[in-house]
Amino acid sequence: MINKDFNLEEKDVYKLFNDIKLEESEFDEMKEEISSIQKERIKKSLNKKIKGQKNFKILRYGSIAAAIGLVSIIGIGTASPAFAQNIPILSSITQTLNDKFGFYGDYAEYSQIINKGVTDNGVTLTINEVLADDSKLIIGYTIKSDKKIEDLQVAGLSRFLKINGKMYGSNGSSTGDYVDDYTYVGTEEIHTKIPQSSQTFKIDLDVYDIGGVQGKWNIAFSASKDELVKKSEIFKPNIKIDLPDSNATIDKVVFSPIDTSIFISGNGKNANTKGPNDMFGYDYWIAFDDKGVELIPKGLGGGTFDTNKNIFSSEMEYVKTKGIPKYLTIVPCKIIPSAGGGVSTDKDGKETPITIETRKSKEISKVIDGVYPIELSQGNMGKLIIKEIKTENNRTTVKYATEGKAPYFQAQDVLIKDDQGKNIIIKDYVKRNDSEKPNEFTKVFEALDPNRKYTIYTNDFSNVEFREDLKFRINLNK
Amino acid sequence: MNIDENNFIEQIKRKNAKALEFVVDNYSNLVFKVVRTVLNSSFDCKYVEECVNDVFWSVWNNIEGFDYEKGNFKYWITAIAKYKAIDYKRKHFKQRTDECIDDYNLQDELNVENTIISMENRKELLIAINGMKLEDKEIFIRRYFLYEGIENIAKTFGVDRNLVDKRLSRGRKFLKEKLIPLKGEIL
Repeated sequence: MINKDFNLEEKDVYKLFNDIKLEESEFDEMKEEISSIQKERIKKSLNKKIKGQKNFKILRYGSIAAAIGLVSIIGIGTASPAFAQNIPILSSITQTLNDKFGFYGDYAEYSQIINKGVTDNGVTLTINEVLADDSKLIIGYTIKSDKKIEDLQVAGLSRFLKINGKMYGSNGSSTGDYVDDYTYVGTEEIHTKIPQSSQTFKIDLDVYDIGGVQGKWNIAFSASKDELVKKSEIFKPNIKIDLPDSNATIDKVVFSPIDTSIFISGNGKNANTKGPNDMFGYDYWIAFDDKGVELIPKGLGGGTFDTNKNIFSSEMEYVKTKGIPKYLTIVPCKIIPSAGGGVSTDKDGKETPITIETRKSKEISKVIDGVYPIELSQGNMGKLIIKEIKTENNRTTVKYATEGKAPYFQAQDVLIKDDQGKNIIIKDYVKRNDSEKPNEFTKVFEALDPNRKYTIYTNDFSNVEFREDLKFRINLNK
Repeated sequence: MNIDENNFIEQIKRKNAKALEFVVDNYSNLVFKVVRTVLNSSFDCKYVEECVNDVFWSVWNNIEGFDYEKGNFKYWITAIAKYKAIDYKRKHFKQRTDECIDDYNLQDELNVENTIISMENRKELLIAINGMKLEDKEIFIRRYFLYEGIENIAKTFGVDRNLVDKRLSRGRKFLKEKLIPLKGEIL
C-alpha cells in the first residue's frame, strides 16, 4: 500500500481522517437499505470479537511470566523443541507438563482417559485425557502431523469447545511441548462454569484450524467432575477486601488434589475503567500458608471483566498444598510487565495487537567464575544466593536459595546468558525440591560450555508493587 | 443506559458494546454504500459484509483517533470505510486474476517523492502533515491515503485538475522541507 511508504500506523491515518469531508453523495446509491437481519448478524459477530478481546487477561499473563521469568512459557517450547526429549507420552500428558513447570498435583490419578483421535489433512488430533471440577476443565492432547506445524503453544482448543452443546466464555492457559518435529503434546486448562446439574457433562470439540492447517477434526466425549469435586475441600470465607482500585470479596477457597484456588468477585472504584487493569490492577496475589511458606502460583488474576458494569470475577490458582493450612496470608501486588503487549485473538482467529503500560526493571548480574556462593541483590524484595552450578549428563543445574519478602516469586527470576548476550535455554523450571526447605530451589539449563564465559542474572523487581500495607489473612475454618 | 447521538462516542471509549451496536444501527447503510462502491460488483456479497464488519471493528479499536473538536463522525466513518475497502480490494485482488488491471489504478507518480518521505519517525511525519494548509491537507490525504483520482478530487473541490496537481506538489514539497533536516539528523 502506498501509505506504507509514509510509515504511518493505521491509527495515525485514522487521526488524519478527521480533516476530510467525504460526502455520502460521492458514493453509488444503493437499491435497498440494509436489512435488520444483516445488521443483527454484524452485531453478533462484533460482540463475539469483543468477548474475545476480554480474554486478553491470560495473554497478559503470558507477558508477565515474561517479566518475571523473562522467558514466557509460550516462548520456551518454540525456542527449544529439544527440551521435550524427556517427555514420555505413555504417562499422563497433563501430569508430565505440569511437573515440568514445578506445578505439582495429582493430575494422573484424576485423569479420565479418552484417547480418541481424528485425522484430516495429514494432521491427527488425539484427546488423551480430561480432568474436571466445578470451575475448570483440563484437556491433555497430542497433535501429530506429517509436516512440522509451528507455534502450537498458542493455538489452543478452547475456541472450538462446546460444553453440553453450548459455547461459553472462558479464560485459561495452555502449555505444551514438541516431542519431535511432528509430535506436539499439550495441556489446556479452561476455566469456566461447569454445568452444575449433573456430575457428567458432554464436550464437543469441532476443530477446523490447527496452527493454520484447515480441516475437520470433530471429537465428542464426556467428562465427570465427580471424583475431583468429592476430594476437594471448599471454604467460603466471605471476606471483603478494600484495594486501591477495587472492592473485592473472597467468595470461595478450594483445595483440590490438583491445585488450590481462590475465587474473587468485586467492582472497580474508578468510574472510567477501560480494561481489567483499571478495575483490578492488584491482581497478583502472593500467598503464604500458616507456616509462612509461599504457595507456588499457577495462574493469577485471570477472569472475566465487565467494563460496562465495572464488575469482575477473578481467580488465583496455586499449586496443590500439603494438607490444609489454618489460614492463608495474601499480599496483593501489581506487576507492570517489562515487555509490552500481546495479541488478542477473537473467535475467528483474527489477531488484534494489545499495547499495555510497561516498565523495565533493572538487571542485576554477575559473571559465573566458579566461586560460590554468588549473591545477587533483588532490590527491595531481597536477594538470591547461588550455591552451586553443576554441569553433568548434558544439563546444567543451578542450586540456589532466596531470602526476602516472597522467596518463590523471587526464585522464578534466575537466568543465564552467554558472552554474546544470548539466553541459555531452560530445561526444567524452578523447583522446590525439599518441602522442609521451601526457600531452596533448583533450575535446570542446557549444558554450559566449560570454555565459555557466562553471566547469571536476575532483576531488581522495580516493576513490582509489593503491597505489604494491603496484606490480609483468610482464615480457613468451616 | 440509553445510547444516543450525544453519548455513543464516549461510550465506545468506555468499551460499551451497546454503543457499537448503536453505530451499526445508524451507520450500516452508509458503510455498506461506501464499501460496495469501492468493491463493486466483482466482489462477493460475503466479502462486502466481512469488510463492513471490519470497518465497525476499526471504529471500536480506534475511537481514540476520532477528534471530537474538529471531526464529524459521519465523515470519519466514511473515510475509514473507504480506506478499509481499498485495503480489502488490494488483499483479495492478489488472489484474483480475472480483474482488469485498469480498474486498479492505485499506483501513481509518487515513487521518487515517497522515498524521500519514507522515514523512520512517524510522529514527526504526522506532525508535518498536520502542519499543512487545511485544503492542501485534505487533498493530500484523499490522494495518498484514499487513492482518489486527481480528476475526482478536482471535481469534489470544484477546481481545475492542474490546481490539484499543484497543491499536491506543494504538499510534497512542504513535507520534504520539513522532513529532510530530520532525515539528516537520523543519518
